[in-house]
Amino acid sequence: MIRFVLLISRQGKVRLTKWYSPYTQKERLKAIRELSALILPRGPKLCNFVEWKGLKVVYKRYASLYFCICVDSEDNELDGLEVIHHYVQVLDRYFGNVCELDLIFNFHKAYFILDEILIAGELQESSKKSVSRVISAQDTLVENAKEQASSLSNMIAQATK
Amino acid sequence: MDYLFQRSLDDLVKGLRSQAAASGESRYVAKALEEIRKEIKATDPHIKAAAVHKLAYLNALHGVDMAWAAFQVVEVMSMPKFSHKKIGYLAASQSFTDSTDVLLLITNLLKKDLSSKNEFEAGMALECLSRIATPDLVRDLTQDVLTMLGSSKLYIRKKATLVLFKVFSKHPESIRVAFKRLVEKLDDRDSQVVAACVSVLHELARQDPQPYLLLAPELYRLLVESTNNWLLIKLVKLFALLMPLEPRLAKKIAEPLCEQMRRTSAKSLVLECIRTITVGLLDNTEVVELAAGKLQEILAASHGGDGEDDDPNLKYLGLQAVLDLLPVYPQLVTQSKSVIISCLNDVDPSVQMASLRLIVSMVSDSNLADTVQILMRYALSAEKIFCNELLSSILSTCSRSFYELVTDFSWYVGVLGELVRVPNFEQGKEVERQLVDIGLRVESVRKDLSRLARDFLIDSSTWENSHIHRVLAAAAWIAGEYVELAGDLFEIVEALLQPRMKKLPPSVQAVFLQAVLKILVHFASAAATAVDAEVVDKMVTLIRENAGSLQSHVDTEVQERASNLFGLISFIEDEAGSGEMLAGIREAFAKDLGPVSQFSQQRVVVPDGLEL
Repeated sequence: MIRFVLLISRQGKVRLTKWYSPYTQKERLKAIRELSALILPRGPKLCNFVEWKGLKVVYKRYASLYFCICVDSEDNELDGLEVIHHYVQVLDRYFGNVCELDLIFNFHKAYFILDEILIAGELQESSKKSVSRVISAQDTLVENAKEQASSLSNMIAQATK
Repeated sequence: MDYLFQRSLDDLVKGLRSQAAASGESRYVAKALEEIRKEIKATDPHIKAAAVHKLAYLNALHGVDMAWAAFQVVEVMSMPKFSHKKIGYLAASQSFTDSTDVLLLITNLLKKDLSSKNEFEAGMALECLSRIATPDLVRDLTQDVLTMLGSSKLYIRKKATLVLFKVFSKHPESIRVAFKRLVEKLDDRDSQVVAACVSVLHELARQDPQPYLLLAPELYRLLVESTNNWLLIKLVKLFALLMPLEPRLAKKIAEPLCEQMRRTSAKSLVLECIRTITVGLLDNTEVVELAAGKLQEILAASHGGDGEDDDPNLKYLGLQAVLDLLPVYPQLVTQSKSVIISCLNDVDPSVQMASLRLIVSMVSDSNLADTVQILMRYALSAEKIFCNELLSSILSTCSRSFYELVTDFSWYVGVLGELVRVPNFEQGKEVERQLVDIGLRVESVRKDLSRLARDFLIDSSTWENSHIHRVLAAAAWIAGEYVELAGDLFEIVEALLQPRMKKLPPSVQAVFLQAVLKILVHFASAAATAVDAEVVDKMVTLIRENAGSLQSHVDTEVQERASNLFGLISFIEDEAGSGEMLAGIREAFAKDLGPVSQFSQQRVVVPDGLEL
């Protein structure tokens, strides 16, 4: 299973973390620190897998971001790369030529999308189309809810409560 | 109307990014936190939700602790509006841990949302449950999750199936009740749900494969019919876990496995198949041949020819797979020998190590010399860490099972000598151990050892590398122990007492002194003629000059040995009685020291009356 997902920028700034295994706050910070030191300096010609604490970390760099997933030592590495690529493609489709800035300003959407691809540390949906469909359906729901809230009558109702 | 003035998430992010220095950033974060603490207490749901949203951002990307806001997070989770609820669930999923006390409050909330008609709300609740599940929560909600397994919506069935794994891990008794329901999902009309089910079965089987053996027929059907790569990989892994339990299973899946390997273009699947083959199908020659063929293709594909188009992933994984197949298909290594050896100086350390492991496992007594030569060659040009990996492999391979592979010890002693001179050498302790060990066990090679020892002691240019020091101790010991085989004893004593030796660690100096003692004893007791007596005098003078100061050395062992040495000298100079004394000491040193079995102590009978 996937133990956690990390998105780190080239300068070592964390852009997303999702933990599927129990890690205390202290352990999380330590993991981030250690993996940043292990992965960021690696050149482009090196393989995309590193061993860390008896586990494997599969990573791939897309533009300025390192996408890292930590998996069990028997897990299939190339499969891990596929999962990362799947996530990146969905992000790209959603944001239209996604860049790091998109993920910074819309961190919650990055999480929502990840939550439609992985759950409980396993892949849940391998079709990019399905994921995109589900995300836009939820976006619509959110937009409708927000519209209701900002309708004038609602504002007046709130103000005169 | 307050929320019109509330800083939105966008404002927060923009504000943070405009801070140039790290100190500016942390001040900004502190200010934002203050605002959030006020806003989060508001009754207006929009303000509260926005505050939680900002806090979640700070927690996720800046490591700010949000445990203090757990209650407010629950409040936001309970809000009716979908947009707010989603924020609350995100924050909960991210920040709740087993010790969050408000977890007691959300059981009913989750129950409600799990059964919501809105599939996204239900999905949200499932996701959150999978992240924050505690045994109590799970116990209360197991039935709800099981009900969702039968939902008409694919979206729900799929998520519920995967979350079952979490349910089982936190509440193992539920497996008895729910197992049948899980297995039913293998027949679900949608392939994503089937794949989810197989994922869960695989994770469960990793802990204990026995109960899942009876599902083999179902899984076999899927293996044959499926074209979904993710599903196939999980199936192949699952079979790898089941095969050791039932030998007939291996025979059955051999054909579908081969078929998948032939059909697929996904290297991930091919490699997974090879891994499974190494678990249970190594005796099936047809399967192994196919696997070896596919592996060769992969290795060939991994090398772009000019090094530019190399695929490092395929190189690394390919080498690992060759190692796995080695027991039954060693031809792979000979066929790809040059590729494997060239990987020794690959730019990727993982590839280098994989290649080294492969080469070491192919070593036999007939190719030992060649292998060592190749490894040495690469060690000379490798950087420090890998260089020492190479040297350490040479040392451990040759000394394996009491030097089982070494047929010519004279040659090996030469290798040890070369090894020590490699620029990044750091294996001092091991070489010391081996030099002494070989000296004890292999009588015929003691002369070579003495010569080597002499070279080390005299050529002090190697003394620069601090890792050599233990080797020097071994050299000194050898010189002293096999003193009859040493050449020019005077030269050796000179070397042992040169001024540089005082810079060596005290433990090494102590060995040096003891060696001098042994040599002096040998020399003095053998001195028959007046000419010899003159040389003995010269030696004594030499010792006096150079080792005198050591009698007051800080280290007690050095001090003691130096005093012994000088005590001996005064004996020698005092003519009367020294001859017998010397003969006695010499005899003591003459007895061969051999290796002692580790069980020897047990064999010693404890005498009666001795209380230990």
